[in-house]
Amino acid sequence: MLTFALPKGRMLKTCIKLLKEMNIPCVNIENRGRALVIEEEGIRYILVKPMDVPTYVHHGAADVAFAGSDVIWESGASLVEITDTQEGLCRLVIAGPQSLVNLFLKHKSSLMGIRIATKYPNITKQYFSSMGIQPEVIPLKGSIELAPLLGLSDGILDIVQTGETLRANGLQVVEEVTQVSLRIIANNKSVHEHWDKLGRFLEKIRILKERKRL
Amino acid sequence: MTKIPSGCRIYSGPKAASIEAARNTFLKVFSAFGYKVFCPSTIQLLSSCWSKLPPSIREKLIVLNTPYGEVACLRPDLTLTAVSYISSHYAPQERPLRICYADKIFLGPEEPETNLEHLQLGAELIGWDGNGADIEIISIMLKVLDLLGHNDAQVVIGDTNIIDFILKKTAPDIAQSLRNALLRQSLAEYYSILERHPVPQLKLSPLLALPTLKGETTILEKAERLLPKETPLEDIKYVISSLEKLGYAKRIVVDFALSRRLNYYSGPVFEVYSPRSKKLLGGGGRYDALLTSYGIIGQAIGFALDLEGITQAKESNTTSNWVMIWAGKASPKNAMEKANILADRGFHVELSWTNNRQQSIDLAKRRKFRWWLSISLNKIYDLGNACEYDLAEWLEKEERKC
Repeated sequence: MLTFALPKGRMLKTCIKLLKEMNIPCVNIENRGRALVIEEEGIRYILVKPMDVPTYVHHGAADVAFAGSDVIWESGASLVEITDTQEGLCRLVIAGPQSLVNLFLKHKSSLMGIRIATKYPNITKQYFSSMGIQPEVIPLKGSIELAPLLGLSDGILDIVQTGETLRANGLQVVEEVTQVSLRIIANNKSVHEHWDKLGRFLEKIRILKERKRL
Repeated sequence: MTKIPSGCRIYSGPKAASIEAARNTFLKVFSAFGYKVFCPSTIQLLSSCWSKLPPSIREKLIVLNTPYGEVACLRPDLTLTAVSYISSHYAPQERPLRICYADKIFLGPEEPETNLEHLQLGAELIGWDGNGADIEIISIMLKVLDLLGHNDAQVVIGDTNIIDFILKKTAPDIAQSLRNALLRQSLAEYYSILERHPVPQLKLSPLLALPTLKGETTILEKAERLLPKETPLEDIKYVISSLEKLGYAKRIVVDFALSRRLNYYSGPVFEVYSPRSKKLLGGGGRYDALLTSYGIIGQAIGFALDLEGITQAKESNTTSNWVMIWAGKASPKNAMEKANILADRGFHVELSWTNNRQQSIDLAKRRKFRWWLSISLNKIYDLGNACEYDLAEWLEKEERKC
């Protein structure tokens, strides 16, 4: 049986849509109630917090999963990225008030010790250290936009889809860190054990992307 | 000692016994095939390994200063240590060399893992040209895995020469990006690079096919159809057919995009998985280029297995015959003599020096021992089945069983 981890919350709808488009049985997920483990035609779906998805795959508790490229990067987990679905597109950005924009316009050295609030402490450290800057990372679990408003941080590193929340809180994008999309990931061992199935996922996503292009 | 550093572990009891048993089995089998046991130093000079390590490992080195003021690090890799030693201590005419080891490597934690110490088993065969060396090392490794209870472990085989051959048909910068994507195991990135950098159709199809060529050995036929005729498939085909002839057909899986994280591999490579362990048990491959960097011309192949991973899976399978020996009022000499007889016959024994018979039986039960022996009565009791036997008769019976 293939164990398939799905991220709970906002991305679940997109994942179900993709599963349907790939003709993978998933009716029981929609009628799951409060169940976190759902079985359907040889697939065991598990619903986990988006940030935890790579950990489940890394440790082999799940064979395959949908996960955002942001959480994959943040986790540092050793896993195989099977394919980019090109769904759930958004951007990982550094944002902040006008004062942060001004700071970024100055010499790079003025960024040393910059306080960044984020749900992505590992990415923040890696990104700034690649510029030779040591940031002060303030790890938060949510409502990141509040941090610069209350003086907790100089800026934030977070995902942005439309930019509406940022604008509503008087923040603007200063720099784009990376594009984010929903990926299909798999455990190293599972790739070899279940390649007959995983290879088909790769092919189905390729066909879906082709169709969208046309 | 109540606290140990984060990322370190202390093993005792059955786990420690399993680790030691696996270690002994590994070294015994490889020694029987002429591999010499190698015991390298734990602390190494940073200058001797820095240039040979990929950046991903350099970042995780545990660096320190010795009391003599030398900049050093805790050993991050055993193959490098072995090759470095061989290059400076053995003359060309002394090769081929076979070495094996069971030791620790030390690296900074790699999230989401936390451990700093990794127990490894490994073997290296240096200076013996031809595919025979590949077959030798993989088949002995499989023999050890069988003995350790992993008789269904699978070996995934690839060949970096095939990857290099396919990638060299693209521009060097694209080839490097594609190679990095395979090293990072990101097929998403691999295909995205191919989309962003158009490659002529003729060169594109093998590039597209490469990461999908995974599966049972029948995939070789598909590879022959999809990859250019000049693709160097001989090595992988020879290794696989030889292992099949040795009876390992069902244990082999092929992955044409298999790229080991350490960047020193240059030929057939392999990884090992077991159905009872959810993670990689280990892997290895040919590293002729690394050998060249140490000034040795020739062929080298080696591998390392995660000793903890192997014993984790093995632990649940172990069954032991333990005997609690109650000396009672008998002399220590008498008790020790009986203990020696049992130990020599392969039993695990523990001596109980208490005068209280019941206390000794209770201890044996608490430890889940099957047998309890009274030296003064010369009787042995099966605690599980509540039976009693005369020691001499029981020993005779056990011997017949053997």
